[in-house]
Amino acid sequence: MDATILMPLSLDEAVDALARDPRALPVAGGTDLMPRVNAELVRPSALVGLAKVADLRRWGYEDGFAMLGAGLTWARLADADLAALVPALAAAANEVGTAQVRAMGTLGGNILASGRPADSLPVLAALEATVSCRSPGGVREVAPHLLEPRSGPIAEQLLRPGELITGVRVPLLRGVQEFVKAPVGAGRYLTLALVAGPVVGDVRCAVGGAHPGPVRAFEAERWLAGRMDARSGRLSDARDAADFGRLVADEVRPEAEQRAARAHLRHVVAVCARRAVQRAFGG
Amino acid sequence: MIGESTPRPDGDAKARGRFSYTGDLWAPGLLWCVLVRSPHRHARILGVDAGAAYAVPGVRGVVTAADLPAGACHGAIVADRPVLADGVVRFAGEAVAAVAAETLQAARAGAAAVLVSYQPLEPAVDPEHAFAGPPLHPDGNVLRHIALRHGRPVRVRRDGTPVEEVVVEGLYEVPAQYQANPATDAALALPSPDGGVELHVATPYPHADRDQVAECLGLPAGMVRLMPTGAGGSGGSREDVGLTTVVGLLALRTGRPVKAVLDRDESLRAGGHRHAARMKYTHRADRDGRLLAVEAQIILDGGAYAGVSPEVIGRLIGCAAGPYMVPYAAVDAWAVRTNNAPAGAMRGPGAVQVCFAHEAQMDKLADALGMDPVELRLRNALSTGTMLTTGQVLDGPVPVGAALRAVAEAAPPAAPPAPGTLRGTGYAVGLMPLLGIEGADESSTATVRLDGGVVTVTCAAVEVGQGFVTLVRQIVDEVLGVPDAIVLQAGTALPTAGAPGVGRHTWLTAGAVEQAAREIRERLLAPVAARYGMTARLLDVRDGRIRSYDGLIDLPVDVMYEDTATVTTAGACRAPSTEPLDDAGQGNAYPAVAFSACRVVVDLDPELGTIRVVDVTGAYDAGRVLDPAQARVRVESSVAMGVGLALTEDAESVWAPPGPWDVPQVRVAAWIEEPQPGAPFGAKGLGDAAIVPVPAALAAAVRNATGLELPRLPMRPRDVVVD
Repeated sequence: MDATILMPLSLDEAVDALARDPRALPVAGGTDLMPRVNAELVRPSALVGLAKVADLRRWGYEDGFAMLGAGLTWARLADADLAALVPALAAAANEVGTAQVRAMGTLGGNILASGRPADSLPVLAALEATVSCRSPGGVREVAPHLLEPRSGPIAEQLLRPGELITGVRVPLLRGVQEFVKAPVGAGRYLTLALVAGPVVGDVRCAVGGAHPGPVRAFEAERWLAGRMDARSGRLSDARDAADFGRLVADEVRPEAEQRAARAHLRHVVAVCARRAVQRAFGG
Repeated sequence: MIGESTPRPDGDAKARGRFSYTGDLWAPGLLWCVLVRSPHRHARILGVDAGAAYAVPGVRGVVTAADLPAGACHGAIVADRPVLADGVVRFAGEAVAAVAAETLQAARAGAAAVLVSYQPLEPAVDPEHAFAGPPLHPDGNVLRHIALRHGRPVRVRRDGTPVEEVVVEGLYEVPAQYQANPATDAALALPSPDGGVELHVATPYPHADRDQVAECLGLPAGMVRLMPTGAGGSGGSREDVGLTTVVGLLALRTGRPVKAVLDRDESLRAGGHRHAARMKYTHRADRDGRLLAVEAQIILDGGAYAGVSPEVIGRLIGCAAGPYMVPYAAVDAWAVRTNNAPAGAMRGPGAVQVCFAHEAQMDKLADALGMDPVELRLRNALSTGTMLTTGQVLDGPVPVGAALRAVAEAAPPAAPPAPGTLRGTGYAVGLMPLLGIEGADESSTATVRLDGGVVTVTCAAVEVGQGFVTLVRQIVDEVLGVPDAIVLQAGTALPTAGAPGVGRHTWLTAGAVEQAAREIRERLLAPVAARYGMTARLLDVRDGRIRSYDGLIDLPVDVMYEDTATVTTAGACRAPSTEPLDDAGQGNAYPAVAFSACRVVVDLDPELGTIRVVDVTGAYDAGRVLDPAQARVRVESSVAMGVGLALTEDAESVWAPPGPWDVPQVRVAAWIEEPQPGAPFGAKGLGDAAIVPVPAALAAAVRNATGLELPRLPMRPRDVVVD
């Protein structure tokens, strides 16, 4: 590889380096990018190493939101303090790859990873979190759940050339958060994040691994919200969980080449959704 | 010391990423080589135009079949595979041309610019169709067929009453399996001043590769020198001789060093994987569960070229009935040429596939008889003095019953099944013929030199990750009391150490080292012993001291060396002689057979079809455990490979190797240490036998949990959903 390697020491330097050369790529843990660079699937003119940018690894509160730096590793996101803040993200972190990948792989890198996103993005979409994309001109907040999950790589919709993901802004919710992950063969996974907010009737559900982006099941969410008892927040019927699962599967329609594989994926989505509801609401 | 765990000399460097593989080698003026591969499974080559490739800046050479001597073919047994496709391509990924350029990028651009015009032909991808279809190669489509016929059908009991038969049948399929050696095939060639070429390749078998490369290049063998380099693992086949030849040819043409390293995708398409198998079995037993007959038809997909397929058939045929006494066997096994990538040898070649089938049959039989599956196996287990269906009487240790009992009696996993999952337990036993078979001339040599207390061992055996260097050091320590022998890999400068794998170097090369070391010991200890009126046999060398049996003599080990400056001896070890199998598959074809048993416990999520392997407990016919840590590594890697074949590696889809989360801790219920006569320290190779029952036991466990038939691997989540 003939690329230049830059090691900026601050966020501003990193953003400037990326803005100067739109073909440069940022690299943090490198668990997803470096294999692609080595196989020449991507040919960046420069790599901007983020290891020395401490600002990317910070986190904090900001009026009802948790600000998580893009450089936080999976291992860090699974720690007890962050797990208490955003339980679904910690649950997702615990099911990523091997210990080595969790030690190196970062939140920002996962948002931009190749393939069908199945780890952080469905959680962020369910939480209605926003991703902070920074360029020398300023910061743009993008909400993954408002993108077009079925129309091509989500990273391209999310980030403009020359921008750097600096972190995510996650609303702090008092409700329940569930994350379910299931292998479906050939190294592929389906995931489902379910969030039941502090207000009765606030239910959000996103599916990962089914399409190029995380897919929200808005109609199924509304249906489930309507089945919740206005005072207790409980579901009206024990069969609601299974019905919700079928509705989510119908709405999400995971993609696969073969019909048999497609049928299995729909079945898995339905089971994951049912289980998430059962865990969240009991029963 | 033998029997103790010793750290591997290459372990630390490999774990830290500092080990130097072939791909890391460099020479001044190095050119990179990239192959042009066929996108078609079967096509006629109408022409190759390299003009545009030469126009790519940095390209220094392009070669095609026309640059090689006519009919330059290679092959482990039959030379039927062209170095570069000549007139016709027979699998997608077959090399058609090769480009050498100043940089890897230029070589890739050059390879992309080579214009090959193809006329696509109908591919034969199903071995059952290729079997009777038009020949894909002048040698025909059947690579080998053995029609094993053994014994006589049992129809009446001793008292003359007819036997009441229980019959079970099944059709089974095992897919191809990619070895995924951590470092892919690679080669570095340096032109020599004499017009020859020096090849640096991580091959486990330098002599055979050297001879084939020389033949294909039209050079005398002496002008091709082959130096083994650091191998990045070997699951069986390693290093494509075609690639080595092409790199050598480009070095000769350009007069510059040339290097090629396959990328993972090329490596996946280039062949050398485990044979895909389709197997039809009929088992007959009496009401007491005694096997009466095994009938089977087995087809292996050999791929486009013969490779080692004939030998794999030779191994498979003796394993096809399993480690059981079978009075009548009729087994037909074929290896068939197809337009798939040529198959190679992967750990447990042939035996893994048939074990999946015969063990499924044993479980079906147990079910039909209402018998415990372990009890049924014990009732039919082979033992010393019994006969394989090849007619060979087993005279070595045959601990089938002991191994099976050990895993069956081992404590089950303590943790209860996870909520909502179904737990299943499965058993399997397998056997594996070791060393070269059917009259292969099996011998190996080694030179041991002792100079002022420093021992240097030189041998042509290659460390490919099997732990051979550690073993040699342990032997020298055991015999001469010198713990840190230097082990030199001689490449083709010494006589051959023979075809690697299936426990060969553990037996033969280690045997040669042991013999040479013992001779030195006798020679050096004799004068010491004579001083005390003893023979050398009564002295023991251990922990840097020479002690006599009665403890009266206790001297520092240095006294051995004080009178002699240097001693050099050579040792040789030969395997028990064998003969080729006859037309009916009969003959003493195997120098030795090893056995292993395995119990697998799984928790299955019946809704999602996800399988968690909770526990793998094995028992292994080791002869003797020379190094417990190394033995564990062999067993653990075999379990990981077996889990991959059974669960994750779907040849029809994206290749997904097993990850650490797929493989549990492996428990060893027993190392069965009945010494193998004739083998150094009585030890047998472990890796091949260890993998054999793993996929079979895993499938049995999933069947036990689900009640599904599951006749083919891998068991994908959607295959095991229970609604």
